[in-house]
Amino acid sequence: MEAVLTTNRPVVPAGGELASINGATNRELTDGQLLERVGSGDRGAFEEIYRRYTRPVLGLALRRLGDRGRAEDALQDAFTVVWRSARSYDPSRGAGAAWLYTVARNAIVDGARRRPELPAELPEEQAAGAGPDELAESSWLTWRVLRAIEELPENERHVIELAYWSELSQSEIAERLHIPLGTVKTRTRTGLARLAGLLEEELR
Amino acid sequence: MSKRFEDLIGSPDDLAPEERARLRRVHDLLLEVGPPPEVPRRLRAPAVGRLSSRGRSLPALLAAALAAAAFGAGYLAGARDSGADAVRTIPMVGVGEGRDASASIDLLPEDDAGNWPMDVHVSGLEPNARGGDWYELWLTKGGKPIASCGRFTVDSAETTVRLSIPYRLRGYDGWIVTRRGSDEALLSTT
Repeated sequence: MEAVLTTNRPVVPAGGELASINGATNRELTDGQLLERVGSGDRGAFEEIYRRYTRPVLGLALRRLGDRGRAEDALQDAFTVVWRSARSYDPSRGAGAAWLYTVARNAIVDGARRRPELPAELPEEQAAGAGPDELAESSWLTWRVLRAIEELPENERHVIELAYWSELSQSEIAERLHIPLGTVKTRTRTGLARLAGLLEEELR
Repeated sequence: MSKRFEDLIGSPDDLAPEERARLRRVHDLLLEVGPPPEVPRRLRAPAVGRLSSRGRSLPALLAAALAAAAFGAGYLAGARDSGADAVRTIPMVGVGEGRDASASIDLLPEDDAGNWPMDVHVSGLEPNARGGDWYELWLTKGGKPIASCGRFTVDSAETTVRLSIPYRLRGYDGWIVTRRGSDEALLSTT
């Protein structure tokens, strides 16, 4: 798969990113609206979907497969299926995020079946005694949270990621980003508030 | 390093207790889910080469497929045991009576004997009546079906079939799918 990626990366035709309907750029469109565009062959829309969902899909694949190489293959498989199947997306049957989740999960599972050298679920997940429902719920929650993080403005996302998943203290984050400590705390707070809005259903 | 909620957000005076509780739930959720995965630089943009051929000529696409296959076969032989990864995905679009169908061909590495296995994923073709009806994949030249790549039947909305061909792909410029008894393309790479 690496060969395909590194030897065949033609330039995406210009204009996709800023193509608009009713003046909306791809970044302003919902997942569902983007999928409808992808279904009609809009590569700019596909790039935006890819940008939004790279980490959720990769995160899901890592949880399912437990192996980075296979998860990266699964990421590419999943997006190939998205491109191929977007025409079948029906907005009346659900939100774009749920459709993408289903497509990604199926592509990951199919990939695991085709290349069954490792179990399709992490052993520690099974050992923890979680049932299929709990695993599915946990995967969906992770999917939603990772997707929501992608929605944050760059400066808030950066601070949130450093605050939660680096070993840096708040003072060290301030130093690294060349911003006052108070700004770090403010961005953390506004980032959390924005995430709370995006994850309203998950917080109920 | 522990991540204490109070340390992270400070002690703002204007934060109502309900809002604090709401932020606290998000905080707990982030800790529960854990960090987003690191995405390697090479995967930060989609591999457009795996997608549609729109905007590229078919001969160029086939040439790219061959180049990728030649390189990919060596790579896979050296790096993978399974060798089951496609070295190129070639999309097909529905045409004529097959306009609602779509397909893609995952071209797999050439085997030692010179065969090109491929997984053909088809969706939207009308299911065949059992026995006596089939679809056929052809390599084309100038739009005409020249070399059969195999026959298959469809019995549901989506079908994947493994075919294998012994031809040198360089002599052709595309693929089409026809139905038994007809030369009309239902799916085409052009």
